Amino acid sequence: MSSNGEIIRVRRYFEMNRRDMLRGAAAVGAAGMLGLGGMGKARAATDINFVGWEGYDSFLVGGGFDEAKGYTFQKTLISSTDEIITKLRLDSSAVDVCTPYFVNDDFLAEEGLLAPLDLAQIPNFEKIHPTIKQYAESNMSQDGTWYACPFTYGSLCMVYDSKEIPAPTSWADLMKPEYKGKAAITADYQGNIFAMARVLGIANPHRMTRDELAKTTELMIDLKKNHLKAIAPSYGDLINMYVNKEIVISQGWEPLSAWIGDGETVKIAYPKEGSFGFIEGYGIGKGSSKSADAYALIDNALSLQGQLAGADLNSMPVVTAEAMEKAGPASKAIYDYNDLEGYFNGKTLIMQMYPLDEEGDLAIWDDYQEAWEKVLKA
Amino acid sequence: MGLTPAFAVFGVFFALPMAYLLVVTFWRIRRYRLTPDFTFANYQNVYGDYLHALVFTIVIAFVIACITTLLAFAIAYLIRFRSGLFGQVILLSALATLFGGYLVKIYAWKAMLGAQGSVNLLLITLGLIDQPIEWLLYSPTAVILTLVHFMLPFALLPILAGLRGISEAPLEAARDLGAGPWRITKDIVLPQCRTSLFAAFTLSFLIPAGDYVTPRLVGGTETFMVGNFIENLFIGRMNAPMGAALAFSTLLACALVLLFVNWLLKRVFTPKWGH
Repeated sequence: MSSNGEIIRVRRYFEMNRRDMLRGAAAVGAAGMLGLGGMGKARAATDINFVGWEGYDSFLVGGGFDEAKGYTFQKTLISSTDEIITKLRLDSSAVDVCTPYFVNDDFLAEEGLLAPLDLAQIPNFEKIHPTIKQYAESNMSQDGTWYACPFTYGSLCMVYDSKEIPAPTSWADLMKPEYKGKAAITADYQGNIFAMARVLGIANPHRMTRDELAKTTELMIDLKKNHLKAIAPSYGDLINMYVNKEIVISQGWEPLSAWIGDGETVKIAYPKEGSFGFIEGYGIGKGSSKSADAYALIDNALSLQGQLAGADLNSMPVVTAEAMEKAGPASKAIYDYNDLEGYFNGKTLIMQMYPLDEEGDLAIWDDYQEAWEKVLKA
Repeated sequence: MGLTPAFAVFGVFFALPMAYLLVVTFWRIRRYRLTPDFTFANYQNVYGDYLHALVFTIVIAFVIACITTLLAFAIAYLIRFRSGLFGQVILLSALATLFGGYLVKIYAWKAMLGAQGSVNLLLITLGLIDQPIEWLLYSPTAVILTLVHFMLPFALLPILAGLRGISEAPLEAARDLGAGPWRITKDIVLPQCRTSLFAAFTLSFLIPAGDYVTPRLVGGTETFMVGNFIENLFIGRMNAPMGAALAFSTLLACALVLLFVNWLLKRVFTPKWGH
């Protein structure tokens, strides 16, 4: 009854007597014990916050390393390399292992977002092939201190349907009239700008003048408006386009041909202007409280089991000399481990970070991103 | 007092973040870092660089909202007035599509609209075309189809609720006085469910206007919507001030469209017996 004498309807969802209460207490106790048991298990496992491309964690956990050591991966999978910068900026200490884009490593180190690596805690670092180290060093290390550890490499090369067309020899082949509406690129702006800049004869696409960048942008707009079927948001979508016979030529990545499968005839080609080469590395977020675990995982990624597991699962290449020797025939068919120098200094080109600050007439990083937006808007 | 928790939740999780984002629109980026300032340069850049994308987005969202609202009204009308018990089956069928999930629907349309998709295969089998229609997928058409399909159940519910609230008495009175179905719909049904139509339009306009996944997956090279650029400004270019300015400009443009549609609906569907 309310204070003013009106009857208030109280809805009672349950009636409780002493027996019910005791029964309930017993049930809560049992649930609590079960819960505590579960918590005990959870405490034994170590959560590792991983930020990177899907599949890039496979090297870290190769040979069941995560299960053996009790690591549970909390993965934040990215759709563009810039997302890692955003995540690191939000809280670098919350990122235990990440796969930053290798040209960004210097910038991330300067910004205090990546921890300097203690190579003593990565004994397998010594096993990395000297050529890989040589080409990774300029981007991944500063004054002799490494901020990322190479674990695989590759390039944004050309991909084509060998049943439909002959092997392309130039990025300009994307603009051949006969492939109009049958060509595609991915949304990787660095690779796209690189390719079109090289078509224009620009030696170093990462150090273009604003005028050169404007010309490159015009060429990309022409490519987009007059030749492309689509800009694929992912390699999965690109594969679908090949499988559905919607495209015959595209920009792509070496593992693509293996991912499509044996029944398909999609192959890779290296254009005469060179492909956009990259070396992928693992970094540790500055301030991560689990850096010891991160080191253990990175060391495992460079062990024979880690390297081969990553290569088998993703069709990506390995970086240690021993893994190159032991790699399976499928891996060796895609990657010529005997001519790494030719790969990094012929088939592909390894780039440095774009200028960050104004430097004469040189375009800066934001100009490149703005150029890509212009292409999308056109 | 009773509403205090609701206001607190609204304030902490909506009003405050929005206010912060509004403040950020006047800040600058210096060497990829957020720097407090008071400048209108971000808004100037938005109107200089992104106006085309903004207008394109508003137009495509408007088309989607119009088609969705019309279809939803037709289905709701069928359920309420024409199909008897079968109406429940139609309603359940429409709502069942909600279980499919957003991405599943996008990929389903991708599979249907592709060069080797079921739509093209059907048309070829029927002898209506010789070659697959190329513009079905990776085009604005694909974006519109996918989003109309996605939004339809959301638009259907408020309209059906509005139609169910219409009393039989004026409908029977109109029939007795000799009004035909179209006259009854125009002068009684539509005016009485005007607010429901507006709610349905609002839902099916705002969600596509902010969408950036569908245009990326089924849109072609020329179907990038403003959401794609907002995403790129925040994540790719790390330019939160410009991204926020573009987001607020989009909000403003959406609000203007909705005000216009509300005015139009009021003007067109005012009950005739009120005059």
